[in-house]
Amino acid sequence: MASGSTEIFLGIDVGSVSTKMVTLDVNTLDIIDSMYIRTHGDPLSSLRVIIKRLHQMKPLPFIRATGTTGSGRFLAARLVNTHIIKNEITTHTLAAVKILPEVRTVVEIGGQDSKIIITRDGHAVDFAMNTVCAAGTGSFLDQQASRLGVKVEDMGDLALTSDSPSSISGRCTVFAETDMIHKQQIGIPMNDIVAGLCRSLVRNYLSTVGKGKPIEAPVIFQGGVAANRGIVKEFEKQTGLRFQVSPYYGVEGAYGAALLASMVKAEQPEFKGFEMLEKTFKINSFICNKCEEACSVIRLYRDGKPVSFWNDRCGMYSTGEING
Amino acid sequence: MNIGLPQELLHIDWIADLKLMLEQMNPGMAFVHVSAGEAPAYLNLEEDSCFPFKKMIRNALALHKEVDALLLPRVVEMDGFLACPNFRAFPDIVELNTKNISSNEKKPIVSPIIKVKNNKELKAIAKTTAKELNQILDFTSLPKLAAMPKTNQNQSALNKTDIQHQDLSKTIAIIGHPYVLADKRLNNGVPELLNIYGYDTVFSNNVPFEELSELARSLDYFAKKMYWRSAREIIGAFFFFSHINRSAGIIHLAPFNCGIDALLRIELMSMHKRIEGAPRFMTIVCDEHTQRDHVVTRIEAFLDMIYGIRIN
Repeated sequence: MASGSTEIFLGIDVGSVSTKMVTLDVNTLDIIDSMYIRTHGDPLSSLRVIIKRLHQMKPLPFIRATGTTGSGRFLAARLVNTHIIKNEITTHTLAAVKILPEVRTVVEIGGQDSKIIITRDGHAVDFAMNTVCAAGTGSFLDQQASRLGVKVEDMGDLALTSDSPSSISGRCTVFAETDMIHKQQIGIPMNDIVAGLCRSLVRNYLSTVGKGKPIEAPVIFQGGVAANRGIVKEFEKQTGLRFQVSPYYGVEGAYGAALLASMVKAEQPEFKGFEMLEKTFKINSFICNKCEEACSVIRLYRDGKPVSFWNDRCGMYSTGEING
Repeated sequence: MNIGLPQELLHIDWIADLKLMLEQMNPGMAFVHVSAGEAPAYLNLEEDSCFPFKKMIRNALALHKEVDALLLPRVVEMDGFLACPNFRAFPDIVELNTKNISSNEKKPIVSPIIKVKNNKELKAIAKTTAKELNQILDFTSLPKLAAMPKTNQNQSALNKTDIQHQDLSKTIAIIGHPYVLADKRLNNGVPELLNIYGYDTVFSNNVPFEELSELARSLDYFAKKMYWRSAREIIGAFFFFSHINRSAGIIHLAPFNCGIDALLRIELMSMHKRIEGAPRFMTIVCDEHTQRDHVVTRIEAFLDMIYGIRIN
């Protein structure tokens, strides 16, 4: 480690809609920096943006350990060279418990995922996640905001101005959209439609993801959708509980991944993320037909040479047994 | 002579025993369970079915081209409890889909009704089936059934390992329909994944059905007795792995939210809530996961809940 440089733990969360980064001071575990950007379907580019932000820190930090999470966690791990790869349920739990040790319910609504985690004594004891249906997630709100011509970040405040939220179907985004178009056509004010949308999203969450789960206080609300005050109000109304919005709601997964990195005692491999700024990285995939699984094997190239493989169920490529 | 018997049916103990008996009666019968070919792209009357059923129909149709006859048992009732109605209609749906096959390519379908409680009844079914196959395929010798053990239990059940006294405290129990548990394409590779992570697995069908059915009796408080055989199997297994010999965790694999599976999903969740210190429990609806990563995330989080966070 260069003298004078800050030593940090790094957490990266590559989600379907957004990519997040958190750095922690190794001694205090306080957050030094965080970043939230849109993935735009190009995780390689979004990762490059966050690595650039790290690289701009003066002096250049020494990264003691890095944890990755989110649906793009394996890709991120390959690029920065770490073995600390964790699912988002575990990392979100770690972060929530750190922020509010007595938390009993973690409600998380992200870009395409929504989850509920039941915690007792600082540990997850049950969880549920949405599956094939992305109704009631951030991407749905994004889509509707754009269709209604309002900024997604303004939706919450707009909803709070409504006294009579309109009735919108919460079961399916297609039905919800049809309902919203109809309400617009008959002249229902925009704030009432947006408030109705918030209500339907919460109803959808509670009847699908939260179905049968014991939602008990203290509740912590995280994920990008927690920024929407209209949703927070609706959750509180429909559950009768206070929903505490996490101060790091947008980067909670990355925070959890960084906390996880801080918990690993073993010495970690050298951080190679800065190579992303100097070298050319490219990914492609191929179908392996060596067995009936027909895996889509993902291949990472550095300066034109294949350096890493993953997503092969048998491990034939990822362990280096065979070169693709 | 090759007889096609879809592999999906073979995971049902009584069908496995029927095959054993038929083989014993006529060693000239060679069974084929999986086709190397493909089924027709468009099929009739399967749109609203679960994936296991669709897979079974496709397998039967693909087998059609490779065998001399198809044995498609019409499973109605086993051990006094009903099978899913899809099993009852299975031979008819396969037959309907063979209508476009030219008559000289068309293979006969033998579909004995499986309504069986004990070995004696199964022997009777085996004899009738063997006769029917014999007539169709013109075997030279008449089938004879060798002496089978005089027991009411099916042979496959007798071969089950005694897991009553095994230490399951570090093992994950997987409960569900036997054909889902055994087939990687139907169970999203969940058992395999747990093994890759280094954990042992035990299945609901490792416990004899008689025992599971007895355990399920405590739920016979509904308006009617729980009359679906698979429901008794799954509920019984849930009781077994949460009360009798407690496992570290229980995963319920449901093909999709249909009929009894939809009810079971809610029932098991509610039963789980009532058990003090119950093993961690999770349901995976296999049809709701289009990507392996979705399953990996859930399994990893489930294991983290049970064993603490592990870095691979």
